Amino acid sequence: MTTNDYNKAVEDYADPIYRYAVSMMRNKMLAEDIVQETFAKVWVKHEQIQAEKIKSYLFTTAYHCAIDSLKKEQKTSTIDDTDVTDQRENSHHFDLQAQLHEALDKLPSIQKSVVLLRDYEGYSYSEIAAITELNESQVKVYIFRARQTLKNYIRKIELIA
Amino acid sequence: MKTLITIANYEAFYLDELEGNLTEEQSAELHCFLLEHPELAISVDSLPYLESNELLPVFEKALLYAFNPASEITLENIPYAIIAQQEGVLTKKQTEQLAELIRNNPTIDTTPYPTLVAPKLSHPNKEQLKKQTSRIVPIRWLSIGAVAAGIALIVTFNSKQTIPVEKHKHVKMLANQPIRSHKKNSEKTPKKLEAKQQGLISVNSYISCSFPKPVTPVEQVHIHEKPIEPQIILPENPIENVPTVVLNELNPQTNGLIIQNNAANNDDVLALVTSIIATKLNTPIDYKITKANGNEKGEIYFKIGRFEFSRKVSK
Repeated sequence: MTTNDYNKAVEDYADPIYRYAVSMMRNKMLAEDIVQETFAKVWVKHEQIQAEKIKSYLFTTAYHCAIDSLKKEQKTSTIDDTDVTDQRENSHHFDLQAQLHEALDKLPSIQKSVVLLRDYEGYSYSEIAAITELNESQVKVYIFRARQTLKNYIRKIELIA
Repeated sequence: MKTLITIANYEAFYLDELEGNLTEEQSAELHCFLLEHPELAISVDSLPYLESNELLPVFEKALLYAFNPASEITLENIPYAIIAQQEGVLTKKQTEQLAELIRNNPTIDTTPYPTLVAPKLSHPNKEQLKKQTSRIVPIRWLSIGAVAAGIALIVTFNSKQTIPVEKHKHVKMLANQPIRSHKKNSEKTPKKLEAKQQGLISVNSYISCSFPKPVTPVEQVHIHEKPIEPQIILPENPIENVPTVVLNELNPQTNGLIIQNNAANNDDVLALVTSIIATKLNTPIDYKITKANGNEKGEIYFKIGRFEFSRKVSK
């Protein structure tokens, strides 16, 4: 992959990776760190990476960075998610999407990650399996569990309201 | 070997396997059993997907069964079948089964499962992540070009300041040493002879004169670290033995000799300068100087790394 390919990858995928990282971390500063780290790692190996596989490589790196960062954060402190919540409150899709993202935070990190990759990026099970280093059956089970949990959460809120 | 695992008890073994309670032998037997019974729809690959201390809930077991293409849709696994339909992973047969089950059981909740929509966020410092595509090489080549031009100028001016000098058998010059000045030599020339010489030159510049003149004035300046004055060794009777000096005679042989001497001096200077520059820049330097000959122009050519410089020089 050339420098131009790398710069094009930044142009194309910095935003999706940033969105993924924000949703995973619930903190914009940490998300920026993850994006920075992801692209730094990719740049180190950019000569060995094929340009057509860059998206998968970027998300795989971002996924591992996010999981590592979450583990560190869980050890040290709880993540402040106020900035992300404020952003969503201004959204027109506040009702359903805000609640869904709230429910998303209740999921285990692996379920959260696979469902984000599925819904945000539209990855297939096999692609998600490659990114998360799981097998397809596991990905399928995690996604189905996550969907079930999200639906149950929304249903509970509707009942309360 | 007696088979321990059967259709009746495999679930217990399966759970034990997930919990890590089976021996290696039992685990291998379970794997063989599952491979021999694909209708159970438990992939061997799916075994390690749960942590060892996590018990498989009933609905998870139903999930495992539900989404194998060979599985049948039942009321037990219908919630997952609805997700699977939404995900687009049901076979045609399973889709028909699901539709029939929904028709027969109108109380089933068929509300679509919510999917997440990505928020409209952009990375604030995207430009900082990019890398510069331009290279620093041009700056380096510019400097090399400047050095090459400098060398070319030195060579050009050096070659224009030479005046032909005839070698005399009684005048021993140290080889390749520059002559800085001829003042001392001219001082040693008797004043009377000098006056005669001037007179002769003014009358006819091509007249041969017989007065003793061991050294022809030379105005040649070369850069050397330690200039050495010419040594003049005169014979016992200089007037008798000093041969004729022909002034301003353009003898091709003499000219050639002088050119060779000058070229030798220039080569020394150039070799020194180019070797220093080549060492400093860590770049190979090649040069070639061709003198003007007749109608043909001379040429100064330099090659420093990839940079080439050439200049035509007239006589």
